[in-house]
Parts: sequence; structure tokens; C-alpha cells
Amino acid sequence: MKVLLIEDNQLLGRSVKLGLEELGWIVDLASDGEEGLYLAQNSTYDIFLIDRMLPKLSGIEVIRKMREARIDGAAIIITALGATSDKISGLEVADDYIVKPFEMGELVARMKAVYRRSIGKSHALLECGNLGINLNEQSVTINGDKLDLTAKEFDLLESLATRQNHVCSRAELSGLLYSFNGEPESNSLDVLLGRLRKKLQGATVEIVTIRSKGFMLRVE
Amino acid sequence: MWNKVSLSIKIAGPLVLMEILGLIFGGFTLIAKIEKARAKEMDALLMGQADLVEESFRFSKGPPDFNDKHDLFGELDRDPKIFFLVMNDESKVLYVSKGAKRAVQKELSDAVMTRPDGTPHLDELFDIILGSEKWRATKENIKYKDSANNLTRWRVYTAIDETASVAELNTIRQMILVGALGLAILSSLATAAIVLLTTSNLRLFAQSLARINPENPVWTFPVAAQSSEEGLLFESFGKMMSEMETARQNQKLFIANASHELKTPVAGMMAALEVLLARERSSADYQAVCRDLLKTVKDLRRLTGALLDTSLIEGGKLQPYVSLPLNDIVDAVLERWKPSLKLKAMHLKWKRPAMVYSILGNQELIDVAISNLIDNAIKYTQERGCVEITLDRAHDGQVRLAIRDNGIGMGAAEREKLGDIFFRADVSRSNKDSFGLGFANAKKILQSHGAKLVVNSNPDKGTEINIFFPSV
Repeated sequence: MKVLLIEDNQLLGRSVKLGLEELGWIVDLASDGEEGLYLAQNSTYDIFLIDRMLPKLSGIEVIRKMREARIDGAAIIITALGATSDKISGLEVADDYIVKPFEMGELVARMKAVYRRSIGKSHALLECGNLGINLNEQSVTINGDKLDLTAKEFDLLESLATRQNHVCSRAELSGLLYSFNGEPESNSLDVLLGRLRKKLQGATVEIVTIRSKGFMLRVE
Repeated sequence: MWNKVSLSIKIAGPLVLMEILGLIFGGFTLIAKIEKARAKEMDALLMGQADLVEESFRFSKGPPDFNDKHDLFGELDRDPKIFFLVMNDESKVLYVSKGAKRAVQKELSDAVMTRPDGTPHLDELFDIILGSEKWRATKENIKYKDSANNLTRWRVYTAIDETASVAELNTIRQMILVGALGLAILSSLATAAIVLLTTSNLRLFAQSLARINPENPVWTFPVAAQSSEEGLLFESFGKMMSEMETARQNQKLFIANASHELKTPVAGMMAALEVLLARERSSADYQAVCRDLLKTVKDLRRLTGALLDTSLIEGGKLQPYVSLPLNDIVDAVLERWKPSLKLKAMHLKWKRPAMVYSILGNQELIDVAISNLIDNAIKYTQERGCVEITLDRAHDGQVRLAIRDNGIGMGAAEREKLGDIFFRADVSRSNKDSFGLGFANAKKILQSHGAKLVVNSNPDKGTEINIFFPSV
């Protein structure tokens, strides 16, 4: 899962980024509203974690501009403002609202819940054919047998599985798998796809290449 | 009790009462005047009739020819509204007029001569009440020489029937009373309507106040004022609401900013510790996080100090003002800031003047204000920059303290917002060591001491703050 974190407090930003990365997620960190909006417009994210009071552009404005630009992805506001009226105004634009100071466990749980909602699932298990993908545990099974995947392979499978019957372009997949500044080598996506295809032999799903358009997970 | 009575009743009640009293007084005065005029007229008529009777006797030098029905006396004799009785010296009734109804002739004969208690009438003019009839009577003594030249004395009692006149007066009295009552009702209704109409805006105003939501106190009153007083009231209230709203928004912004500035570092420390403790780390990692935490705690200490300064100033606790030598205060403040100046390799220009410049004030607060301004000068100036402080007397005798730097300076928009609490947080938090409280606190302190601040600043050229203290 790829997260864009927009937080101006260095300690909080760095700590949350590290905590999420240690869960295997890809996190980009922006320190003000304008930088955050730029990243949102120029990469692909599953979740946006945005501080409400940001320099240059407030968190609410960032989300509004993202929605105007048709940028999808669940947005969670993190803020020091805990009054009901603040929560209501925040939830008018965001999918969830978490008040500072928060515990990392709660933040992660909320992010997972919001992510599930954003992909239209009420539970963490995603089923594609005989493939079972557990989003919480980040594990995959074929007919109940555990499949050994690297973090990147899991991210690729998750990205394709959560967008079933939707053609993911090469740029979209790269955006979801790598941080904004961590540009992959030119053929690394193809290498990754090749490895994942191999591991999925025996599954009733297939990663199909749509010429000049991208890739799609198809259930046989 | 009186305080709970409606304003409309308070205004309309006395007005209506005064109108009713005025109408009662006017009505009764009118009736009395009419009664008096009528009585005067009746008396004049009675006296005229009495004179006619007397003249008839005088002219005839004795009793006239009672049988002559065509002369003046005859007419008087037959008039049913006139009664007269002639009596000689020996109180022998010589003649009783025949005009009055037979039924009352006897009673009238008795009544004109004596009062009901049998005593003679004392007044020349008097009333006689006979059942429903009312007569007005008079008595005359006649002296004349008869044809034999003998002095003869007669008494003539004359009465006229004023029953019809009294009935007419009663009708007039009733008409006046009914008219007065009607007028009182109409004027009361008109007064009540005018008062209700005049106070209607006040009721709407009060209702609009009752509708104000304390959570979101917005006052809307789309009603045009009907008088200058209402206009003044609505305008003053609107102005007060607007000022309250500004204060509320400022307070809200202050709370939001203070919450953000206080809670965010706490959230950062919590997240850093949780992540640090989530797994085994190297000692370098622990040290790095500890350094971050120490810096954050120091920042929080500065912030809470600044917020306490703000609350101390906002609280407006008045301290006794004493004479303060500014030279010493500037020296003391600079001594504290020397390490920071050294850290940034900055040059300080301060030549303590030989003359002592004293001001009236609170030493602790003046120290905070000057310290905050010097802190800003250091904070917003690059390494190896310069801070210059001068203390002298302005042309008008005021004590002037100038703090100049050649730092990043400010544009017009920023200068305008300078002094707003947390203003820095609105647009750019370029300087992470600043909370946007220092200048705001300094400005409040100095203004409360009657000092005037003049700020000159240009981007990339630096800032000059001139403080003019009133001379002691």
C-alpha cells in the first residue's frame, strides 16, 4: 500500500513515515500543503494522511484540490482540533479524522479500515479465483496453501487485485510500487511481473498484458 | 413586578389614563357650563315673567281685569308653563294664575309661599320639585298707590316650569358622557395601536436575540429601523456583534493554533517512541530519537513560556509601575542573548548611552517585550548578520529604543499581520523555532505602557523597530 503523508512537524512526519514503512508500506512525506498537492498530482497513492493545519495550503484545501483534479484514494485528516464542529467540517471532505496525539496502532487500524472501504471490501480478505489475499497480514494463499511473496510482489498483486477488471498502466503501477523519489530501474517492473506470474502458476488468476495500455488481473 | 410589565402597557397605560381623565374633566366642565348657562337663562326668563306680572299690576294700579283674555296679562295667565300668585298685605290670596295644570296648582300655591317644612323661602329665587316636575320660582314685593292714592303692598310669587329644560339638559349630559366614553375608547385604541406599532420592532429585535445560537452567535435582523433611536440601537448592537464575532474568531484561531502547536509535538513524541519501541534498534537509533525528543521538549518549554506570557498580558493584571532605567534593562536582556548571537556569529552594535533613560513601567513585562524583539531580530537574521540597538531621546522628548537587523525582513502583507497571535502559522512556518507569539506579546506589553511601535521592514533588507516610550 502506498501512502502520502503531509505533515509539517518533522518529528511526527518522520516517525509516522518510519512506522508505516516498517509495516511494509511505501510512504512519501511532504512538509507543506503545496508540496503534498504536487506529489498527489504526480504520483499514485492508496491513502492520503494529511495534517489539517499546514503551511502554504491547509489540509482541507489540499483534499478539495485533489478531488477537483479527480485524484482517487482515501483521505484521513490528522489534526489537533478535536471539537465536534471541526470533525464534521473535516469529514465533509475526508474519509476519516484522527485527533492528535494518537497512538500508532489506532492510526494504522484506521488506515486499513479506510483502505478497505475505498476498495469496497468490508473485511481484510480479498478473494480472486482460488487466490486469497489477506490485506491485514499481507499474506497470500492458493487454495489455502500459503504463497511466499516478497513485499514488492505482494504490493504488485494487491494493486492489481484491488483493481480487478481495470487496466493498470505501467506508470500507475510504478507509482503505486515505488516512492516518489525512489525511481525504479527501467525493467524492474517487468522483472517483478515475471516473478509474480511464475509464483501464480497454479492459481486461477492470470496477469494479462494489454498491449500499449498496461496490465490487468483476470480470473480464469 | 413593575419590571415585568410590558413596555407597551407602560407607555400606553398612563397615556390612556390621562386621556380618560382629560375627557372626564372636559365632559363634566362642559356639562357644568351648560347647566350654569341654562340656569342663568331660566332665571332671566323667570325674572322677565315676574316683571311682566308686576308691571301688569302697576299699570292697572291694582289687579288687572282678570277676565280680559286678550291683553298681555291674559296671555301670562293662560300659559301652562307659568304660574303666579298675588297676595295682599294681610296674606290673603288675591289671585292664582290658571295656566298651570289643576293637579299642581294647589301644590304650587303652597310651595311658592313656604318651603316643605313650612318656613318661608329665604332666597329671592328658589326651586320647587313636584314629583317629576321642576319649577323655578321668585317672590316680589310690590308697592304702589291705588286710584284712591292709598299705598298698597302686594306680594307676587311667580314660577316657571323648567321640567322640559331639565330633561333637555339631561339629554345633553347623556350625549356628552356617551361622546366622551366613545372618544375615550377610540383614543385608547389609537394610543394602544400607535404604541404597539412603535414597539413592534423592539419585540422583533428581542425575538431575534432569543434566536441567537450561543454556539454560533450570528445575528440577522432584516428589519428597517422606524426611528433614529431604533436605528442607533440596531446599529450599535450590530457593531457589538461584529466585534464579538471578530473576538470569537480570534479566540477560535488562537485555540486552534495553540492546540496544533501543543498537540503536534506530543503526537510526534508518541509516534517516535512507539515506532522506536516496536522492535530492537541500534544505539544510534535510540540516540537520534532521544535528541529529537529533547529538542521537541525544549520547543514545548519555550511555547508554554510564551503562552504563559500571553495569558499574563491578556489577563491584564495591573502591576504597580515604577521608574525603570532602560539602559540597565537592555544590558540585562542582551547579556542573555549573547550566546545565541555568538552561535550565529552575529555582530551586535550597542553603545550604552551615558545618560540614563528612564520610563515608567513593570520591569518584568518590559524585559519580556524587549527580549522578544531582540529574539526576533536574531531569529530572522542570517548567520554573520548584524543587530543594532540604540537608545536616545526623540525630538518630542520621548525615549526611543530602536532595534535594527539586516535579516530577511517582511513584505507589506506580513507587516500588516505582525502582532496577530500565531500569524506566522497562517501562511508559512518557514522558521521552525518561531511560534508567532513573541511580537504579539511585545506589542501588547508596550502598548499597555503607552509606548508606540513603528516598524520599518523590507524583504531581504532587514527590519527596524522603533519604540517610543512616553517621557517620565
